[in-house]
Amino acid sequence: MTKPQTVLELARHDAQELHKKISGNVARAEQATWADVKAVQADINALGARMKTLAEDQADAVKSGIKAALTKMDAAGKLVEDKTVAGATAAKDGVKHANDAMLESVHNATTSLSAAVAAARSKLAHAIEPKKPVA
Amino acid sequence: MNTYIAIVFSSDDKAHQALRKLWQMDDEGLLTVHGAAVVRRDDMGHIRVADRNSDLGMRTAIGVGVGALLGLLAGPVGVAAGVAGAAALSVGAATGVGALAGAAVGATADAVTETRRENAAYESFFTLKHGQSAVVAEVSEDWTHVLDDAMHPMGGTIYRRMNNATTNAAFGENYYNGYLYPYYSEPMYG
Repeated sequence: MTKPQTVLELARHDAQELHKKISGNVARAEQATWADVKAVQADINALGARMKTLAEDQADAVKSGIKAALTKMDAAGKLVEDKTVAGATAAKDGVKHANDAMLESVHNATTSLSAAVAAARSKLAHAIEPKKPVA
Repeated sequence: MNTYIAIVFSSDDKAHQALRKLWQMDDEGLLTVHGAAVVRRDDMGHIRVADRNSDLGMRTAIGVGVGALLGLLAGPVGVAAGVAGAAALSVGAATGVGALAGAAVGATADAVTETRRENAAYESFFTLKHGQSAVVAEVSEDWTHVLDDAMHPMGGTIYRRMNNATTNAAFGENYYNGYLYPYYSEPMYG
């Protein structure tokens, strides 16, 4: 439903869409594959790169939230298939673990970007707020 | 101002409309929604959390988080029972929210209602009567009247708690963050 308007809002929107995509993969756990994981990892890494740039312009509290999310995204984006495990169940467990880690990291990304958007909107709102005349 | 809110309605339909409206307001930049969900208390007194039916990965987590949030919004009496309810919610989530959780949070609401007659300080605490639904959310808002003006015509009653260290301490390890949908999602009851 979100209609992006600023660079921050656009990044937040993309994080929300990525969250939906991973949730969908988690929901269809039986059919989810490492190919799905790799596709999402590419999106996570791309989002992470944009967030690194955006983080630099944020206030300290917002910046620390984004950086914490980036750490998790970085870890989730590097998960690889363990080809030494035998059996379909073990393989599915690996995919599940990767999807769970990615979901958590992207959730953190979404909420940290949401905090950044809120801070930017608040700053703007107070900048245009009518000033009371000085007595 | 970062706030936890509960907006109580007399029906599911109204709560679902309100959820849509909330995200629409976010879209317009009137406030920022960090996460939201719809809960209802059925005629048996059980609290149910609406989620995306297909979203099995989130269902258990939502039970824990929203239970804790309901506990917080229920006030001092509700915090303990609400968090206890949250644990039961997580257990019951696999097959739908359990009766125990509903009883725990429902009892909280009843206790608060009862206490309210004796102590005006409880007036602002969240209560969810049988058959009522609520939007629960974390939002950032610069002026409270914006949300008030949008929800009152829809028949909603708004309850707020500041998001600060003191209120978040009530969540303990079950801090809800990560368990409300961080985007608009058509609510369903599994």
